[in-house]
Amino acid sequence: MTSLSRNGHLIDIRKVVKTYESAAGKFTALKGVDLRVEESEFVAVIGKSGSGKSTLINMLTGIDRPTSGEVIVAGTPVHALSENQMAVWRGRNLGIIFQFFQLLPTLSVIENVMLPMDFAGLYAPRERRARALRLLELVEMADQADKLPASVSGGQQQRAAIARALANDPPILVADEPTGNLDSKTAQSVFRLFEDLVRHGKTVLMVTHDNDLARAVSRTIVLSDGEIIEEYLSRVFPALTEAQLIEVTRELEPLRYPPGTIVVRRDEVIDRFYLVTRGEVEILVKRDEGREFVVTTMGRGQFFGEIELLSGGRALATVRAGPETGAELAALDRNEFQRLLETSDAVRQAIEQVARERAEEHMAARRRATAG
Amino acid sequence: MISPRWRKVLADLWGNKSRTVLVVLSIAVGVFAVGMIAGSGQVMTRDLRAQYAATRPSSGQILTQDSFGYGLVETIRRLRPVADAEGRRTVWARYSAGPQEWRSIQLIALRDYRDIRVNTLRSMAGVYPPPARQLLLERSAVPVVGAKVGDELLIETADGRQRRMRVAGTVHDLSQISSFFRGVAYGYISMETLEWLGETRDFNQVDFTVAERQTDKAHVEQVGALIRSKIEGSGRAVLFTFIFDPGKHWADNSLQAMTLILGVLGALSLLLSGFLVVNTVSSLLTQQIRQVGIMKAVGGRAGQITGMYLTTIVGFGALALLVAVPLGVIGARALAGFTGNLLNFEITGYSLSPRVLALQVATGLLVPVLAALYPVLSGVRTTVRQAISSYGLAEEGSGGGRLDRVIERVRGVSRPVLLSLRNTFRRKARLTLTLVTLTLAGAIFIGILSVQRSLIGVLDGLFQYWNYDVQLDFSRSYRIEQLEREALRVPGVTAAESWSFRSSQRVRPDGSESEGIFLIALPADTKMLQPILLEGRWLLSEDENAVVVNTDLTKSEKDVRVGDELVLKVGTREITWTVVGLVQGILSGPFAYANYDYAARTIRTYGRADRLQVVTERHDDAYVTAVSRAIEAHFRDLGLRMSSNLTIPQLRRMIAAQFNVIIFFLMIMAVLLAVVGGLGLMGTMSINVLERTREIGVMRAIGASDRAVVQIVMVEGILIGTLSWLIGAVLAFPLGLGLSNAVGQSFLNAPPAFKFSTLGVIIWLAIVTVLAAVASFLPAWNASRLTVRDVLAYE
Repeated sequence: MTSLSRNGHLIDIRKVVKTYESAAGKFTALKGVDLRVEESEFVAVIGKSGSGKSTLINMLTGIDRPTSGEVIVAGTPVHALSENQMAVWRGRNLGIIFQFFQLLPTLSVIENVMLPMDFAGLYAPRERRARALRLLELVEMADQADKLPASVSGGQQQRAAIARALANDPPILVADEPTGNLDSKTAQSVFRLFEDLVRHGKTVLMVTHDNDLARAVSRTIVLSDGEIIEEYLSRVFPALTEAQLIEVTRELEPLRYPPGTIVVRRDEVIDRFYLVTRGEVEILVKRDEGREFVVTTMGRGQFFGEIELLSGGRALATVRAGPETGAELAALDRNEFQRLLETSDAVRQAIEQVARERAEEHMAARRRATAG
Repeated sequence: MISPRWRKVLADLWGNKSRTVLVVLSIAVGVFAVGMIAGSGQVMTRDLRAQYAATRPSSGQILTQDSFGYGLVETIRRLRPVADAEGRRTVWARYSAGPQEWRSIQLIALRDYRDIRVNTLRSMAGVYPPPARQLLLERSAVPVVGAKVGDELLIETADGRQRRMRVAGTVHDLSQISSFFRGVAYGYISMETLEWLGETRDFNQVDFTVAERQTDKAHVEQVGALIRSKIEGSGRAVLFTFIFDPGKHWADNSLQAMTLILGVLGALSLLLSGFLVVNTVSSLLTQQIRQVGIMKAVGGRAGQITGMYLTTIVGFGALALLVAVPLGVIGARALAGFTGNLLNFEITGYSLSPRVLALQVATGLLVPVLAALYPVLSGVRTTVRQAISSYGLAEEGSGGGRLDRVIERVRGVSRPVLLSLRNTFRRKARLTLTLVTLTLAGAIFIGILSVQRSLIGVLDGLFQYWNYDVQLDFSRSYRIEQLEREALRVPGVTAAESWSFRSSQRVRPDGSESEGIFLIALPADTKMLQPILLEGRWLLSEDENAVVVNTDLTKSEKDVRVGDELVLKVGTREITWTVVGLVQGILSGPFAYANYDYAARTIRTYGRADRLQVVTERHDDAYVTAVSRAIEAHFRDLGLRMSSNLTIPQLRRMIAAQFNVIIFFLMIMAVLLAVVGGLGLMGTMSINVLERTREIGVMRAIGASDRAVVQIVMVEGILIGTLSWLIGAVLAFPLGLGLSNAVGQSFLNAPPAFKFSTLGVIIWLAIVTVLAAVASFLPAWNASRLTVRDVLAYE
């Protein structure tokens, strides 16, 4: 069982700021980033060049240190470790996969895989070769085990590098552009390998430029100019520019609700727009006899409150935090919401469209409830 | 305002300070060695020759058995081919060096200290000439005796009388072999004092100079023979004749030989430092290949770029000169001072001579530039396209060579060790140069210890040859029967044997006479002499006019062969012998051995002897010394007059001390070479770490701790060291043999039997391991300081 941070997250990055100082002046690569990742998530980190993707990944792997903020990975405050402690910790807890494979040229493929075991000393010397061979089988490289890296293809080198990353069975794999140097077919096969690993309980964080790959993973973190765009915001408001998304992200107020607590009560005046970021909420409609029942649940990336804000009315239904999961929400107040709608017609039209559909669904649900 | 081109040169020098320091130090060690040896050699030769010439050195010396008066000296002076002559009386005595410890002192009496014609003395301290009942010490004897001006010495003469004598002053006598080397002190006294000590006021030695053809040794020999016949004509027996190398101080040849040997080693260390330059420059060019391409792309001509890099190299050399020239002056002064002290001459002052400076500048600049020429030219020859498309650190990886295949097949060690092993062989040219440096340092170190072992072997041989423990010389002949009987009465003495000695000269077929040759009459079946027979046979008890000669004799009398007739003149009698055998001479001078019964009769000493050899029960220093004292006391009680008493362990210590001086000088060079080797290894390891920065970053990323990184780098360094040790141990054999022959030829007149030093091999393994560990620790530590972020550029 992987140890988790005190809040139960496998990876917990809090208010991380990273500022580089150079002769040219200060440059802030990360501006107070918060990020939480759970076990068995497959997370893609995307963003333009210079957006801070690699800096974020480096914070996570301990390759670089935050100027301020905390990075807690599998219960370890990575930011507080010395260089040496970091190297030892990394060897046991994290597998890193590089864009340029970075296999040591003088060691054979299998020796490269055994090397982290030698460093960490987690497996008995006699077991190491067999284990390395199993890992190479997993990445379909067993038949190339005794070759030198230079004599196998780039895709094969990357497979070997993945086997190496798995050498000490770390819970987390971090890959920086792992497919950046591969043709699309080879990239696909490497990606499927990651998916397999996730299915077997590994957590994978992958920086990528490849939007197709990014769409195929369970979660995408978008970085822009050193900040994480609230990951569902861009789905809700696809018409917004990155700059606008960041601005909105900054105005979002994070809210937490324990399981079963009420978020909004029917007929209350609603002055916020809510986005579900974690867990789920239940939408309850009252039957004629006065009993409320769940008409639908909303999960991550879904939102509510827009109908009321657009029509200026009171809450149409009660919203309650999921009984099992509770809910984490991001809320945008009325004024900001209005300003957002005013920024672009496309956004307004899109939201109004969703609101209309939702209102109709709602009426239908009530009718069903009344009929029921 | 410096142009950008030269600014880059400065930046290359200044930018990587540790690289610059390493290269500069390495060149500096070589330049320092050259400066030290050339500088000291020059000043030593200059001062020794000038000072020796100023003493009006004698061309030859004749020792007599019977003393003579001033009149004979004047007669000799008047001989036409003689420029001048000086009579001296030399007597052996002993001084008390502590309770129960007596050491030899030679007391020299001169007639007129104000008018010394040959081998002049120089007053150094205290009074001059020596007052009555006081003595002047030769200055090299001062530390040996451990007395200073004003102290009193207890002197015991040959007949056992003891006298307290004050040290009134010190003098410098360049004609004497320094007390340090000979283990004998010299004291100068007046004729009055001589009488007070119980001796007669006359001479037993004459030193002469020749009037013409001073550098013609054959002529000097003729003059020597003339003087000898004059002395013998006066009815006195001549003991021995020495003819010196004309105008040469006794240490001159050795000094020249030593300077030459050290000079060769110094040049070698400079050459080896050139290898580090090759490695450094190759790596610099590899790193800067893109810069070269860019410079070419913006219009830089190959000549200009070559000029820039060679200027960087000249910069290294210039910095090295800044360090090495002043250190060379200090080193030369120290070395000359030390040697002068040892050989008993004065260094009149050392200042940097323009010739030595020019040599240092030439070697300090030229060697690095020559070393750098190939890597620079081949780097600069790269085309713009090649340079810009190459990724700087193009990995050689493991090639397909046989060695690579062997190394790839190595199994059964952990990956970090495997990594060290394979990294070792990655850059083969660099490895080769580093190995050559360390290997030579090791081979020379082991070679020097082998020289030492061989010299000790000579000593062992010597003491096997002289198979006894104490040697007693008497002032006159005594009956053999008495000497041996009385010696055997002393507790601890297990055997005693007496021989008869006579000085002789060979009368060559052309009638000319040789230098002195010792004719030794000894029992043919003696157990006290174990000669190494080279040719012919040893003496038989029935032999009559047969002699066995040693190689020291055949060296000066080259035509003498086994089977030849040899005419030896003893006193005025010429005796014809047949040479039946040739034995190895060991530091003994020209000897001819003859069967006692026949020879003693021929030289009229039958039944009598003037030397006694004694074997003691145990052979350790303390025991032998104690027994020799007991014999001496016993003989004195019997009224037998001894002139010297020498124990073999004492002799051994003395000769070993001289050998150690030779070894000491050679060791200085071995240390310098080891330093160059260490710097070379450190340079190579630094370059390796620099080139493998990315790999080290990757290892950090996959969990290599500080220790693991340090270990990987250090194991590689130690592997190189061990490899160099292996090759060095093999190479040490021919190298040691050559060195041993050179040293033997210069100091013993013959190459010693070569003995390889296995201990040296083991010691060097320890040294090279430590050296490699130290040399690779800094680069290893730097490697462990690399953070992953430093080395893995992501964006």
